[in-house]
Amino acid sequence: MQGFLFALIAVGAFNTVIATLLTLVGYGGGFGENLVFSQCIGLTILLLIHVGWRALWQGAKPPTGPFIALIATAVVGGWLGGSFLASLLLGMAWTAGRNAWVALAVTVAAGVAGTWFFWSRHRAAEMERQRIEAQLKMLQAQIEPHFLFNTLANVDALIQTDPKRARAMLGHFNDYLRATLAATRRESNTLADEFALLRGYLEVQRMRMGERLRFSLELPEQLAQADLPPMLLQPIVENALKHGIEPKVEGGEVRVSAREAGDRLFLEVADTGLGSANGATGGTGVGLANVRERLAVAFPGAQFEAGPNPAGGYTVRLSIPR
Amino acid sequence: MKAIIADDEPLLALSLRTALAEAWPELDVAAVVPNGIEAVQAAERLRPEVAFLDIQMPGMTGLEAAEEIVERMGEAAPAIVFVTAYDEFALKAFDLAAVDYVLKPVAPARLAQTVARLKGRRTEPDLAAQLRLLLAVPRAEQTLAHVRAGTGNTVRMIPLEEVCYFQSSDKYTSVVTPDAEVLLRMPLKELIGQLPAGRFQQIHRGTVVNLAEVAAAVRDETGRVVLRLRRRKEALPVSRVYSDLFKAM
Repeated sequence: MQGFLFALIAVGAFNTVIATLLTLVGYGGGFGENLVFSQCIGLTILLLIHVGWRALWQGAKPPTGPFIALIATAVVGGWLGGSFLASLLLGMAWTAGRNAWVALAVTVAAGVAGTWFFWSRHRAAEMERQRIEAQLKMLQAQIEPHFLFNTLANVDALIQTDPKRARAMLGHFNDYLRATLAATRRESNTLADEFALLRGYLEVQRMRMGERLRFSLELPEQLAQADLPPMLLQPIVENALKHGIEPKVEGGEVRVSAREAGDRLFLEVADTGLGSANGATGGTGVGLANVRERLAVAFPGAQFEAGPNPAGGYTVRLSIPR
Repeated sequence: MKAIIADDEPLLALSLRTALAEAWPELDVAAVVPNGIEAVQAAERLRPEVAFLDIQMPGMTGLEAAEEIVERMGEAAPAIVFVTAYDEFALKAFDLAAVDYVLKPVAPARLAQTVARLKGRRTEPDLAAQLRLLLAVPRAEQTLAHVRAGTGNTVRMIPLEEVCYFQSSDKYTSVVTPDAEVLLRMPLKELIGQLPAGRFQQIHRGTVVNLAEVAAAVRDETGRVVLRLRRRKEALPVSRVYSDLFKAM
């Protein structure tokens, strides 16, 4: 209802602008007459669209093609019905003379402009929703309970046998938590921050998995301060471990690297694991889809590639314009 | 008493071993292995009385390893205690199946209970029945009426009544009817949940049979069961976990 009220006010204001412009170019019989006509036509169109939308889709998100057809029908209907209503109100004869065709042209132009206005508003709202959703997912991803409990179980095991390593593990875990918390509070992070977070995460995992996990992180000095949405690489690395290396009996290696070529920044997470994003362990691929979405929002023109390596393992490559 | 421990995380395996040494000094931990496949081998080779199996392991999960151990060792299979760090679903399943489990990190009091239970056990629990419950796939809301199998540009609709059995082959499932065999692009595990309960029964890790097509169950002298079908010549082997389901009434 609130949306309809906003639309009513916006369309009313828009109609007034049209009436003013038409009067300024000397069209019709003065501002009063133009205003009645433009309000009648404009509001009829709005009403037809609203009623049609309620009737056909019960107010849910309509499919694009049929919705455009509905708008076109409403525009023609509004032009006919609205001008008839205005003639009635003003006590004028309703004639489809030369003026009526000009009125149709104006109505169609106004309809296109109105559609564009509401569509871009809707798009902006949709993007905002996606941004918030992505942030929520990111928050959830960090508090992965399995990781938390496993880490604590390992620290517990080490306290008795090797207190020094227990402290080292807690240290890495601390680094990871600190970096993650900092990342959630920021819109943008540097590559150096992201790599610090990954190091904490991978060090903890290496203590858990022992010799089955090897890793390397390569960040050239000149790229350390490059911007990156926080926690963009972490889910990719987590994916590599979960679906690539953990299910593989002999384990494997994860390589995370950043490099610059031309005017693009390339980020790569390559593993020597089972070589499937989710097939073997039945994941849903939500993690990677989420990364792809966040990348597209943060950097229009960025590219995302993912697939198995010919020699085994899996690689995810991000290419970001600088 | 002899025991084996299987866990892919070396520190946790060590921790369990240390805790067991305190809670049960007479227990001889004969092997600590890092995955399910080696757990099965160790069980066969060492014939322990108890096996502590981590659930999440590479190669073969603890559940699959338990199934394989029962399959290969039958009555001689060790008592199994599952070990897990965190998995709400699994805990619920363990309780339902009355399976013994310990949580990581191992709490001494909880481990003492398990040890007492293992020591004082007079009658062996029905491990096969427990595993059947644990391995049961959750049912989907909707069940299928027929399967759709694509060959070239034709999609064949096969009513479930026509299916004698399903056989898994890697990521695919082959559908066996009285006169044909067609491949489905769906793993058996996924398909099972969508079959109407009561009409289809898993009888092996890779086989689900249409119960209406079963003509007889034949038990050989080693206790192994095979099923004869009404409209197919081949006989289907039943794994030990499921063989109780075909006892005479």
